[in-house]
Amino acid sequence: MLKLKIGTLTTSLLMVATMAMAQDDARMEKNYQEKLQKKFVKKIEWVTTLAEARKISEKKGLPILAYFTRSYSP
Amino acid sequence: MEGGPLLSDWWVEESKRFVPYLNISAMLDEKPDQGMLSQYGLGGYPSFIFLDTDGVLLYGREPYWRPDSKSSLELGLGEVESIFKLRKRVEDFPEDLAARAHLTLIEGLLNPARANIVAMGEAAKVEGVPADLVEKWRASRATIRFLAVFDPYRTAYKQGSEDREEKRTKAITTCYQMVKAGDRLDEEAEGFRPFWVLAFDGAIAAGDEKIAHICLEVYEDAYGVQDRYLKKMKEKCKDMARGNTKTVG
Repeated sequence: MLKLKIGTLTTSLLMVATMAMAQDDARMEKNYQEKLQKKFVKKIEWVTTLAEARKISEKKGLPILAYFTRSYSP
Repeated sequence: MEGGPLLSDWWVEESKRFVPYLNISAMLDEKPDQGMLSQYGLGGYPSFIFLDTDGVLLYGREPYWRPDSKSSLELGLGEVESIFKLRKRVEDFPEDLAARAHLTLIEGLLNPARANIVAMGEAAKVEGVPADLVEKWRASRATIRFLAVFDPYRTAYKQGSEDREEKRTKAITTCYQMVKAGDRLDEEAEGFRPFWVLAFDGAIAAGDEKIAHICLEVYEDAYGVQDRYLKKMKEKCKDMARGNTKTVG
């Protein structure tokens, strides 16, 4: 009986943790999408992967200006 | 930046001279290029750097750079464009020794850890290389030589790599030999402190009491008798005098 209760409690805790993580991911995804909607992103044609930036750099003979920012914090 | 300079007309106009690459750290593994900030040795947000076609850092890490005005952007862009032009020149005209030498010096000064000291020394002798660049090379030669061994050791140490001891041995040996040859870092030079600590350790490892004391003196002059490492350094000196220190080849 005790084993069953411990098992149920563990499962419940795992479910709560999983749900919290999923909610966290959803919030991070929302932040990321909001960042992409910012005016400065629309103002010029940013490339969002270094691989793509390198391809364009090679083709056009231009340097890459990398801007590092974050969406999870202001 | 995002609500000001990155919306300005000059930014839009000047962005035609480079490939704008946006790296958003999102705390989501599936998003592109996560964790790249630290790979370039950058410490915080926001950060701006110029890279070449291979993704090698050309400008912006040291000192910290922010293109928050047209003139600030021009400062970095002008330097980076001159490298691109020189590379193109060297590619199109491999016989142009002055351009090749110019490029060797610029690239070496930009990235001391990857610099070829011998090639830079030869480049500085080539006629036609800008005099200010040669002067810059002379002034930073010792720092470049030091960083070429120190950066790999520091990286290996941070990453806990298996070869960190091997890299440390190389670093202490080089620093020791530099001091022995009279090639030293001044107090205002980048890496002054680790240089003298490593040179000291190199002298201890080589059993060279004279150089060890020189390093100790320079270190004590710069940091004073209260410095937390000084006591240990003095103990090492005493140990060496008693013949307790192992030497390395």
